[in-house]
Amino acid sequence: MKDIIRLGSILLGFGIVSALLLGLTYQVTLEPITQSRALADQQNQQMVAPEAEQFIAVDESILEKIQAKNPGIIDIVQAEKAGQVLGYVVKSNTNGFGGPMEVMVGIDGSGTLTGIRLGNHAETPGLGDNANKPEFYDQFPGKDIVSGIGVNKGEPGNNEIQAITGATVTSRAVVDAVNAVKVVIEEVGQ
Amino acid sequence: MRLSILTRGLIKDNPTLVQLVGMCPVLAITTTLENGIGMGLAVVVVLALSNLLVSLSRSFTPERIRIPIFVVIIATFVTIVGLVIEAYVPSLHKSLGIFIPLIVVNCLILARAEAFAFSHGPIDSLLDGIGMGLGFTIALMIISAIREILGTGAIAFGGTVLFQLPIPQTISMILPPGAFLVLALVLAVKNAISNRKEEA
Repeated sequence: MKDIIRLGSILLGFGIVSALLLGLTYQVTLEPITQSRALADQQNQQMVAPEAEQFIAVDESILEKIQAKNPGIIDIVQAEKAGQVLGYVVKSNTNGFGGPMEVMVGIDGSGTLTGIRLGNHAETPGLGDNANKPEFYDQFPGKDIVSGIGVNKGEPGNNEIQAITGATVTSRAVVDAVNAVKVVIEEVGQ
Repeated sequence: MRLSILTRGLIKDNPTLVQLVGMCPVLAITTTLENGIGMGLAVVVVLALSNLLVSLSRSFTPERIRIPIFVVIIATFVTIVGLVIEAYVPSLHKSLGIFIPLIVVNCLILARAEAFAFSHGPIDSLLDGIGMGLGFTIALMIISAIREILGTGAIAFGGTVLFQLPIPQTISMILPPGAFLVLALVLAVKNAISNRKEEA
């Protein structure tokens, strides 16, 4: 009995030290990580809405209304050029093969894609993370999310995306995240 | 003597090709040479430092609960490395970040803690970690290069294609079956060479 308590407290000691170290590292790195993620988000925004010059966050109330319909929508900004609204950039969250996956989706006012990029994700290196290559994401611009994009393993049809070889789950997840942005168009589109 | 600790892991005691530990990442991420090198180098760093930590904490680690303590040390350390890299070297995190959480479940790290670091001094343990890590990297590079060439007919690095061979692309080599096939062939070649050496 004594032994169990002794061993238990040693393990507890290791646990406490680990927890403290982890907490400390988290605190120290939180700020730079948030910044670098925000920077990556900004770069992705520009990528998916190449013509826009300004990105302005939409009203909190609109975002909440949309999130009530689809909690996967994390963030919406308006893509503007010279005061004119070109479309929207939406950060959409979904479950990929390796857990949560963020997709940055650029659309114009009528629901035609202007571009997509993968944000934070944990897809398998060499298979799922190929979704972050131009061969995959360059298929999206011009496709229409109001009628819904499909996934095809063979020859993709009109409004379809060719799935990544060996990563059908990831491909579907990305397309699901893109299609989910439809709620934004229903709410704010022209 | 010290030098042999470092070189042992490269070929003679290669963790992948001789000890056959840590096979999960070997099979999973060896789809391109770039991934193989990335994962290999990440393992070198983590393995060397986790060996060092395990060796340093030997005196207050009771034998009976050493395994859970190793797991706590390794998981904590890997998480800290991941956070620090993401915070201060975002470009490295972009290319290596995805491998770091995978390292926690690499039993190679635990195997070296148990088989070496727990019974050796900190410097020897550090050397063992570096040697074993490099051996792991070499094995990953061999397997991933073969798979990438057979699967895509080319070797690409950082988005640029280094060379392209006029051979048919066999997609299945990039998929999981290819990993098992190539691993088995590499092991067979390795064993054939060492058998011949023994006979001679």
